[in-house]
Amino acid sequence: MADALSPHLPYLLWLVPLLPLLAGGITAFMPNRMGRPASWLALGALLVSCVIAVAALACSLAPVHEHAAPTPPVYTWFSFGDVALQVGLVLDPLSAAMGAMVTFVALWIFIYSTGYMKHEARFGRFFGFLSVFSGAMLLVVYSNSLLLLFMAWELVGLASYLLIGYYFEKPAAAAAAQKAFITTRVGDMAFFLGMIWLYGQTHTLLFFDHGHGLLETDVLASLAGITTIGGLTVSAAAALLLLVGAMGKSGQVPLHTWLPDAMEGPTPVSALIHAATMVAAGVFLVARAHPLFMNSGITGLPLTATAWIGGITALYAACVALGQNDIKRILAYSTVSQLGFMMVALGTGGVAAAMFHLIAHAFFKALLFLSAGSVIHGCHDEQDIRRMGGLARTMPKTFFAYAIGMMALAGFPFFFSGFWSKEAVLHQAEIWPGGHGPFLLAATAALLTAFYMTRQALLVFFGKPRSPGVSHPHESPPVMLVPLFVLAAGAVLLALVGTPAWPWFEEWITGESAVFNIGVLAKPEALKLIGLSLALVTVGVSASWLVYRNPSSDSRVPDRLENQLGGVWTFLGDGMRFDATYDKFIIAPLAALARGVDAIERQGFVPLMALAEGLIKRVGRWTGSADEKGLNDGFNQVCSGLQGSADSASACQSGRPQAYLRAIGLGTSVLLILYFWLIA
Amino acid sequence: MTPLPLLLTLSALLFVLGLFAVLSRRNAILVLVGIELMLNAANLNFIAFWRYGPPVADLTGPLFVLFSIAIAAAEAAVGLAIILMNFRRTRSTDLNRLDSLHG
Amino acid sequence: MIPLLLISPLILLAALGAVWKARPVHAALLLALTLALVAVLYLTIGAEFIGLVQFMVYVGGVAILIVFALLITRPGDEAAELARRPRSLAVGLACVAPVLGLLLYAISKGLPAETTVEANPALPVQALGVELFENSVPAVLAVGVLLTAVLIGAALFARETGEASEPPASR
Repeated sequence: MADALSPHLPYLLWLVPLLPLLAGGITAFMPNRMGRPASWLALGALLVSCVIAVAALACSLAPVHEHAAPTPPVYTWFSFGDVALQVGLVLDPLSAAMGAMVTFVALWIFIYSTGYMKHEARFGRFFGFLSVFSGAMLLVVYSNSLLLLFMAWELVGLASYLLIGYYFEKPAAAAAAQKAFITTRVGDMAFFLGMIWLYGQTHTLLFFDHGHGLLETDVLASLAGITTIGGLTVSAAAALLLLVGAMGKSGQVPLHTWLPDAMEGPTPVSALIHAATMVAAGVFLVARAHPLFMNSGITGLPLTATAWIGGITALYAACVALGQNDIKRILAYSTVSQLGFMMVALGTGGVAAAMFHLIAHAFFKALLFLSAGSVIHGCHDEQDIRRMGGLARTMPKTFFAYAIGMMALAGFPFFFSGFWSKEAVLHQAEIWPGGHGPFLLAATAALLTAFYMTRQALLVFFGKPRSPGVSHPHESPPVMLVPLFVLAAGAVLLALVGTPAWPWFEEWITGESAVFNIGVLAKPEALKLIGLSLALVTVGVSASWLVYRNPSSDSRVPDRLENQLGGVWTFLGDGMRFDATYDKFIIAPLAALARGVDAIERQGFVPLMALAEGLIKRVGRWTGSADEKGLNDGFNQVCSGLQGSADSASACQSGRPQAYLRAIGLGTSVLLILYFWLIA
Repeated sequence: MTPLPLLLTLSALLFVLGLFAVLSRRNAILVLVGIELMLNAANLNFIAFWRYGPPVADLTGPLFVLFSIAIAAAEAAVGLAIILMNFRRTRSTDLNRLDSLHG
Repeated sequence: MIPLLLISPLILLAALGAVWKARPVHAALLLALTLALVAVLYLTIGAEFIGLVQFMVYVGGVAILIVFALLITRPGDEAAELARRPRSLAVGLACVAPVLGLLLYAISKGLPAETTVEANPALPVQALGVELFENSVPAVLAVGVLLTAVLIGAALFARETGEASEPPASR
């Protein structure tokens, strides 16, 4: 079947991003009351995309020797003179795996949304935006051209803006959408600069192009050979710029501030965009451009930067997550932290580890968000964990799904993909020749992850309900529960493909053959790391249990850690005051500048315009009076002059017969006199 | 002075007097008087030339005058009838009141 | 010649009066006088028939007609009527002077070479009759028709119609 499909695959592949985009476009023209048909259209398009993506994945799982460098067809988008911009799609293991994951997770989140968003006013529009987002994300994944990727990247950012600001009547939501867009814009500027730099050097933006693409050896060698500012090679500089772009989209410190605020959007949006897919786009970009990062000269600066930034982000976000009280914000900071993990993996040379963690994270983070949504929905829109409690008894199905997600994220051993993916990341970080800094940061972050997830679980699901709304929640309908279970199954099953015993995923990504060998687990390096991961999880969970067991029934009692840490707790809760710093040093000066310019316009420009207006009016009045007096009166005078002369002339026509006779007589005699005098 | 120039001058003067009356008299009937004078002057011319001009055997002069007199009478009758008609409408024979063609 | 010299000034004076007198009846009677004098003139130079016709038609017909017409159209206010003289002597003279000049000029230039100054040729009436009724019968008939038409027309014009005595509204 794979052989039958593969010739058509390059063309079928275009359907994967285009169908959801088309569905989104059609939804834009559907009236508001056609919400349900709009959701079916979106679901249908995504279902077809999912089928094709999975088929593509199946096709690309062909035996290794067919994995020559991919040479997909490219299309010329437009050309000026002899310069042409080309776009195309590529199907390599990276894009195949990512594409299948995105379509699959998105599909189940769509299904969940039909239940969760049932009572919303702009139901149809929601699905339209989701479709646009899905199509753009898939375009990012499959793109063979950096330009096409950038355009789809921007489109993804737009869809994120529209969806965060979905409840635009709330000022907080509108502000959050704007913050997200502007913060990611900073990263996008760097991305754009990097893209232009690369194009300027190589005159191509295709990744794979019969040996002349950006990620192919010839071009990479040439880029690494040119040195520019600061002793960096061109490839290093471009890679750093692309890294900044990825930092914006994936919420790495310091461009992370938008992600927690993005929780203003509906929970399915948080699940799909800000957990599973869009934020992963940054990681995907670095993974895709990894050859560029690797071949950037002797310093290896881009990779080092990636690893350190990832590590710092991971630890920072894990600390801040400790001090959060909103169920979604805990998960948001957790996402930031896990993205840091992925960056650590990428920086330390483990593209496969990063991708595996990305895919596993997508499943269990989406699962956690959707369960949080189920909790919020069931507790009648309560989001503060201090007011929840005892939901394990009253919402058992949700608790079951949540538990699986929580255990995967925290890193419970063996049966959960999160354990193996984190272990892979830590393994890569540990063997990195560039130092142990990122490893230590990541390990500490893993411990804290276990801690805060256990805290969340204890406060939300155990103990007694701490507020009336939470005492009698209603369990979610099947349309919301089934996706939870599917994702939970995924979170568990993926564990199988990532164990070191059968590093199938890693080998497939890097193009080697995989062998199932449980003996690998017995090797000392492997055991050391498995032991370390186990230790981290155990310590984290136990510490949290000790602090938070038997939570009190009173919601107003301060958090137990707060009692211990006091001001540090509040500092953590504020995100270590990043937002306040940005406000003071960036936003406030810009606002002052804007006010200054406005004052200039008001005081200077507007009076100038008023003056011009007065002048013009005066000229108008003058010409008007010139017309009135000059033209009109002159004309009138000519007319009355004519009339006067006409009156005088018509005085001859007295009507009296004798006057006429006299005239005739005189005239005739004069004529005769003249005749006799002159002629005769 | 031979008779012919005398008669011719007389007729010229009569003609001019009649013309003066036509052009200057206010009363329409007195204008008719002027017209009769003019006609008479012309008749006088004819007779003068017949009697004192080059000798001719035919009687064109008197013949013409005969017809002229007949027509003058007819014309005077019609003219007066018209003046009477107008008098009935306007109660006046003033020629200056006939200025409805006034522009 | 002598009679001519005597009658001509009289004719002129009478004509002048006819043209210049303010009272219409006086002017009309002076016209009659002028016409009579002209008839006398005709008689003296040998155009007796014409002179008699002049008497009968002009003096006895036209002049009387004019007098009657004046009587019919007498204005209610004779004094106001009399106060109106011919508008301006100068204008009238200015208009007729060129004509007089022309006529005199024509006379001076157009006099024939030979003239007849002998005795009166005496208008032969019989020859005139023959001339009239044999050679110019159509003319006579035409004049007859004309006179008939004039008679009928004048009678029609001058009859009393019902609405004719109202003054016109525009004045």
